[in-house]
Amino acid sequence: MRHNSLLQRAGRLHSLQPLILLAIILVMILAQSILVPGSLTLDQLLIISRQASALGIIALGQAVVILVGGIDLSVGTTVMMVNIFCITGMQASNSRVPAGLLLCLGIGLMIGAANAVGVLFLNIAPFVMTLCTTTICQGICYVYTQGAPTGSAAPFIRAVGTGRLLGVPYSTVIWLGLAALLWAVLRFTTLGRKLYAVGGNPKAARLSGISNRKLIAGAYIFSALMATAAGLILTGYHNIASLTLEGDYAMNSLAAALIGGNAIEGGRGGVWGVVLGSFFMMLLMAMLTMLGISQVGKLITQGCIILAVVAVQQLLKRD
Amino acid sequence: MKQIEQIRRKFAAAPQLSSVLTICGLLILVFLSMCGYSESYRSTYNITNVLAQCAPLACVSLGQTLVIISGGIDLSVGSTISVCTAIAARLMGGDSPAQVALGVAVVFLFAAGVGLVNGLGVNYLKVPPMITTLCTSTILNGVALWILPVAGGKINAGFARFIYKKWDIISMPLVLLVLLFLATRHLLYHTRTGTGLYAIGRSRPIAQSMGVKTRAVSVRAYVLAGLCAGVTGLLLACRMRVGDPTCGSSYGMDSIASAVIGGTSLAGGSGLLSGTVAGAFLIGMLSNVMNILEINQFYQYVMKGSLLIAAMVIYSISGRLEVRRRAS
Repeated sequence: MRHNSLLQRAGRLHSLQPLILLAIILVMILAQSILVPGSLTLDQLLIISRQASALGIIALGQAVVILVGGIDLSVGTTVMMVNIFCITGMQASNSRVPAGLLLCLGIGLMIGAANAVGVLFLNIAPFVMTLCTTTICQGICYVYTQGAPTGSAAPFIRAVGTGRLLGVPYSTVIWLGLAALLWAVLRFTTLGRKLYAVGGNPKAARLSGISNRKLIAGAYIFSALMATAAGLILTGYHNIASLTLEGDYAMNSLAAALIGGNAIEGGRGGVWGVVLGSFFMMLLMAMLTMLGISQVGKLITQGCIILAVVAVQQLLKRD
Repeated sequence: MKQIEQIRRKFAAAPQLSSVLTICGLLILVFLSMCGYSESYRSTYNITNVLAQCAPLACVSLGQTLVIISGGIDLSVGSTISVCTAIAARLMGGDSPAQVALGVAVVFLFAAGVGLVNGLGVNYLKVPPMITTLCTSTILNGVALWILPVAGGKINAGFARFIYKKWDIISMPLVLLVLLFLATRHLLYHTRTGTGLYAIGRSRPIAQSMGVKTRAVSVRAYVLAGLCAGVTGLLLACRMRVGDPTCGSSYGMDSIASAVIGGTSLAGGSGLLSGTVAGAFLIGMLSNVMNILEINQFYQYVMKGSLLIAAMVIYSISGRLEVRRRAS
């Protein structure tokens, strides 16, 4: 019984931060409809959700890694690498899609496994290890493409990136589907309980018979696979091979997860906060673009607003 | 005998010391093998250059180490460096010494201001360090582009020459680095603030109950990190003699990497400044070595990552041996 009440208390604390974030998003949407009359449509929100889906999927993986007390900076490069190898592997023809998908899956597994081996068996700090894999993968991409990638995506991948299911973009559906799946795993299975335990107190988790290493390795591989999925979606959407596709996904996914109420020390956090966090980041960028603010103003406002949002969350949480 | 006993006691007091020595050994190994391999590497000119090139990264890493020891992290140092070069290029073009002095003062004031904002955000708004500094980093990227949309401006040539003055193997950046190292070293090991930094890195509640002013100490760490970034910004600006609104972007990650390679734990509460300097030189020297070996620019990324992993592996093995030795 006591166990249950503890769980409930923990649940209440977690659910507060995403709710504040939801309120902030609603306020922003309201502000947009006032500032730019007539711009607020369901279609516009769906388009933003499509833009947010890649970041959102990456952030899901990042959230799991953070949950077990790690950090994954290699997600951005994973996206870039999948983008380049997916396009060269598929040669823009549908018949080679299965082979290309296998190749991308292999890349994702490799990067995730490399991170896990470095962190768990070589005892390298996650921050440094994932930074190293980032550098190495960047190098591989540059060497492979000789700095000038070419090609376009296969029709199937393009359909996934741009198509719609009953008006809702496929990528949004995939994003929310994965989020729901992850939520169910974290909320209802022992696996989820174990992940929280490992992040919250690794020593206690080990003493109570949880194999920390397997779970942490799984988290890194999961994160790399999520980045792979995001890479495929982005490839379909942009339809080009690019060495700049990685963008700021590592930092942005981290920000999305932390805004959503996940603790960087691990052991605390939920899924829907991360989903809202990713949506919030994209909504903010879209709004700043819509208001016609220059790049300089965009960067400055973006930084200020994210800082303000997290500060407000912290202030409200303490009461 | 007494001296040996003293050295042994020092090892026991700072377990990271042996790891620092490992990294220093690795550094010397790379250096000596390169000296043996390449004629041009042995030249005084090159050695002076390598030392001067590594100094900017080492300077900013010193500040980063202080923040990491206090249990935080500063991702904004890279952008601070960029803004500092931009400010320097805008203000320090003139010939009069007063103008140059004004430029230097503004750069340091700005850098300290950034540190203050970070410190206040982390300690008073209770925003996690990673988010606070990521946000200030984004804001500063904007500010850098606002001050200087493209690389340009001008640095007073006399001042730039003075900052990069060389006497045989010793160069001004190296002297500045040593001075900065001694100053931060004194602060960290011989003042109450330094002890406070270690204390709040270990455990904030305990430090607070022992009477450490946790907020003030933490804010000081961020301000110092900002100032160190300012030094690096000036060094880079003098090296390029122009400002560049994006030149600092790699320094954020590299400074953290050099601190961690040097044995500072990202969890906070432990770390040594000498390790950080060794780590920064290792990172700086690797790219120089690869240029001397004429390795393709693209392969350098792969090499750098792999070598860093190798360094960390050697490091963790030596750490494990140390633990085993102590246990027996």
